[in-house]
Amino acid sequence: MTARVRPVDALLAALATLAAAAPLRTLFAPDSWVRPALLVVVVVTAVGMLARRLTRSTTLVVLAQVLALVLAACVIHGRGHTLYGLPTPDTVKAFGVLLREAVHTISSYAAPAPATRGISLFLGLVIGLVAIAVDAIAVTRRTAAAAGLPLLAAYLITAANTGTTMAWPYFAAPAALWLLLLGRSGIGGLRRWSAAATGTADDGEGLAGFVSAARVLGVGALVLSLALTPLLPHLPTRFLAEGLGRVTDSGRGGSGSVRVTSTVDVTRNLGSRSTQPVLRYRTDAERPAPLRVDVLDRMADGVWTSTAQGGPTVASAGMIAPEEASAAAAATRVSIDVDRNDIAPPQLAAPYPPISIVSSGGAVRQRDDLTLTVDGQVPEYRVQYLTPEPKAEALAQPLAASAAVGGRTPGLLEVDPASRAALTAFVDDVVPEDATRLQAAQAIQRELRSGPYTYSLELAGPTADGLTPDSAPIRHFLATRQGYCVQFASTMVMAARTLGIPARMAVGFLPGTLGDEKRYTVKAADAHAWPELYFEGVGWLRFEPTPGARSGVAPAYSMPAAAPTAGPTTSAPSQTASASPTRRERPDQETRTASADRSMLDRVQGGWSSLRASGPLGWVATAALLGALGVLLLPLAAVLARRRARRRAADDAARAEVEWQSLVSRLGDLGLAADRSATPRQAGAQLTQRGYLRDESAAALGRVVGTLERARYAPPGEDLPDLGSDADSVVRAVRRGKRLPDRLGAWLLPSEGMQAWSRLGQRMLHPRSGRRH
Amino acid sequence: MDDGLLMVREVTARLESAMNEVIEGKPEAVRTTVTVLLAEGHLLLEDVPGTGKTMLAKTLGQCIDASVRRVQFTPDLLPSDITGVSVFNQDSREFEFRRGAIFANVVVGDEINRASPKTQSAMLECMEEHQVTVDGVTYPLPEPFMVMATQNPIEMEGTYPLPEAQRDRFMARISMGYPSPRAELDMLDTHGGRSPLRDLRAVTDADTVRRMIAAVRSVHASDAVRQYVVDVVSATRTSPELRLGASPRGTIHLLRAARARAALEGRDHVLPDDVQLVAAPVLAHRVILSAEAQLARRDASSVLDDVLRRVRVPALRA
Repeated sequence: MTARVRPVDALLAALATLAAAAPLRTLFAPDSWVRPALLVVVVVTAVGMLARRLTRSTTLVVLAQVLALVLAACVIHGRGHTLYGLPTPDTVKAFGVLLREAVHTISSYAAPAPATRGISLFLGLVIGLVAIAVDAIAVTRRTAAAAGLPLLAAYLITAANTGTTMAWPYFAAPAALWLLLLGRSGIGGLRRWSAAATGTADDGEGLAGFVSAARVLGVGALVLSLALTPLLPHLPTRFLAEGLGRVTDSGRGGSGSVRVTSTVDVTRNLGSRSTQPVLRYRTDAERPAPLRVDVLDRMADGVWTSTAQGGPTVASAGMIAPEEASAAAAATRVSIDVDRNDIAPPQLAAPYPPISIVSSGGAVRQRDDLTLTVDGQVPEYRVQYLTPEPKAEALAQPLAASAAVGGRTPGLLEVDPASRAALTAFVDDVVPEDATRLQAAQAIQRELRSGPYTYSLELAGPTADGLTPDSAPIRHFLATRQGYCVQFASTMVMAARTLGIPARMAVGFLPGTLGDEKRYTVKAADAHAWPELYFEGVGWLRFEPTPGARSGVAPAYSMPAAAPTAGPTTSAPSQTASASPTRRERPDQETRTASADRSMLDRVQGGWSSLRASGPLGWVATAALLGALGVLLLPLAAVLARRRARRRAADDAARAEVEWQSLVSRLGDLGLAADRSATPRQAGAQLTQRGYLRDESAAALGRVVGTLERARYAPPGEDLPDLGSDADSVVRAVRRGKRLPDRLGAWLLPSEGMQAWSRLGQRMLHPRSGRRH
Repeated sequence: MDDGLLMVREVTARLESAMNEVIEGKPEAVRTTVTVLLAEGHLLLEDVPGTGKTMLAKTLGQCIDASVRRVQFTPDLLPSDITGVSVFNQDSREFEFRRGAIFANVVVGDEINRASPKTQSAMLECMEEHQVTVDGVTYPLPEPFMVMATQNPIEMEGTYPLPEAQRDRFMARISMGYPSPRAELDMLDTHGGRSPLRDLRAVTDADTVRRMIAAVRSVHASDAVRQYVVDVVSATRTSPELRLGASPRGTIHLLRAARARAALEGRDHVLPDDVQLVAAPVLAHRVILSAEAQLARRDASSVLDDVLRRVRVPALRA
């Protein structure tokens, strides 16, 4: 019994649990929940060791641990609601309140969420349960391999909820501890083998068995990893930094800590993916617009820069009166109230075009491109802006610009020379001959948002003809069709310029996520870039070429009317629903009507990116698919095992035996069994009677039994008929007489399938015995 | 089906129907008797007086056109009465062997437990070895050779019950049991006037029986069935309700009887069902119940049924 205490394994299991739970620290702040959780794990582990010393029953050990977990939770979290530390109905009520609070916190806060008492209790219970599972599987039952599952589950809680990439030690630590556990149980297994081995021959066999087990495991892991990778959805990347948001100061809550780089490098891979809040605001807009920080109009060597001149100071509460705004006759006036601003001066985030600003801090300047700048930190401000709703007729302008834009038209039509040819080919392909300016812009946007272009935070490597992101970023993007918002926006700007439409690049933030009290929170990771195209008499209009899930919503005017009159009509417009599949409401959740129009082909081409874009439905479908696959595991294994056994049968007699065993097993699944000691003849009689078999099916069973008798007991060498069809007809006849739940149960949980899996498990665990039988 | 088995089925069917005419309402006892005959075994008939033990034995003898001898065992019966004796021939002036009662194809030994142990053992040696040795000369017994001994279990005075070792030599033991009321009524009709034995004609002869025995020997017993036989016998040895399990000779007898039983059905291979059918008559007299089982008023047959229910029928080794 003492040997069953296994202190080293128990310690390793506890450490592995803690290591797997450690990344949760990034989800909740402050760390007040850590110490209680640690205590819970210690209690569970100690009780496990004690219980293993006292009993051999795994169930009892687990029960003791669960009891200890409950008691520990009562003592730690149930202060004032327990009777000398023992749970009472009051405790249950109190825990219910705390857990509801935890659920509320989890569903309404972005990471890091406040570690309330409820969260503390919730995490304590979750981590305690994981600790029990790991301890029971790896230590009590000594099957360390399976303990990887609860560990992985604990790890995935964080991985699925964090907005950031997780540092590698978070994965490496529990993985290493798990491997240690696995190694120890492997050594234990080897020791048992050597104790059982009696001669040198056995040693050889033991080694061979170990090697074969290793081979089976290795091949199985490889096949699984290859097979599951395309099947499993990748967790949606919740960060959108695109390399724009820069955390200059890791301190939390300090003001003026975030800066958006005012030059954007199209060639660079994404770096920062911080979830640090940047802005918090309220708005009266139904769908807030992206907040613009800067406008970049010149691109050289793959780097965007701004050529705008500093403008006059605008009076607080003064009208900015943009020249274009007046022209945009149809526009809605909305405002945002920023009550927290961590963007470093001189930058200021505001939707475009702003018409008035009231700020609490230093003077606000207005550049000639209507970008607002500030001299000092402005913690709170209120901006009124216009949401342009231009009429389609107003936008039906000829392609090439006829008038200068603020005298700087040539700069706004400058095309990156390295990519000019590729862009010309691109627009020739995408934009119809006689398109208006709006139609051309819509065509480009639709093309970029549709299937062939993949949103990816990593740029593709060099292409076959030597293109790299560095040498010709836009050509490279058009060739590899992979990039993030900077590439999408740059390409649209350049394509528009190729057609003669003045265009520029805007950088700023997506509207963020809606939280409590109708407040939106913008994180550094919400940084975004989008193109603005100039329409005479209307002004600069925002477009959104970045695919739906990872960008803002395309404005209404940028999408063709219901029946597109121009452009390729092979597939419906692909302004798919934009929400990334988070549980928090996003302000940019727009109608999903368009997504229904997408052809199946598009979906397949879009692959998982379209799944991500298709919202919760897609995830439900994926879960259903995986569930269906899981449900099929046993029936499939049964069919395969039966086939394999049939194939491996040496002669007719063995085949008849296989068929009989399979028939007995299948009838057993349907709740029909003969006595264990029955001879085939007696079994046949019993099954006929108990299964109410008549006429043809009874005769079929009679034939099966007769053939089996000859197979087993007659002189060998006789030719025997195949029993498959008779056996099947017997099973069918019996199944007909059963209720649907029984039939379903027999089909879903065939004992043949379970045996096949358990044999597989046995072979892996005990390769030697597996080889002998 | 080969000719030998065809003949077995046909002849035994005639034999059984002839015997059933005399022995009313006991087809199973008749069948066991024929089975033991074909399996070259000996039969012990054990029951209260007047249930037709001797009648069964005599019927079998009469149905076969072969030599039938009947020995009434008494306490003063000498071994030489069974085996035979060398007597001096005055004419040829040399000893010549006078064959005893045992020299016959079917020997009916009535009330074998009345003879002295010495006589009993002389008889049992002949049964085992199918030969008689007197004064150093060995005389083979005729084939087929079958002893049907009857024994009365309740009259204990002046009897020498067969010890276990000797009972073991009988292949099977059957109890006739009382006939059903209906059969008893029929019996009154047939036996009322004169003995039905007088009308009985032989339906077969010794030579045919010899050929049938040869056919039975050729019946196939697969590995699975042999395993089953061994499993059943060893289960009797481990059963908590039995003080003594069956002997290895019991194993041999069980398989031989099962072969004969399969042949009776005209089958060329033994089924576990055959083994089960003959298990009770073949094994019941070889086992001794434990004290608990006796107190619980169990009998050997029911205990054996339990044992059979516990033993799994082996499948092919796939």
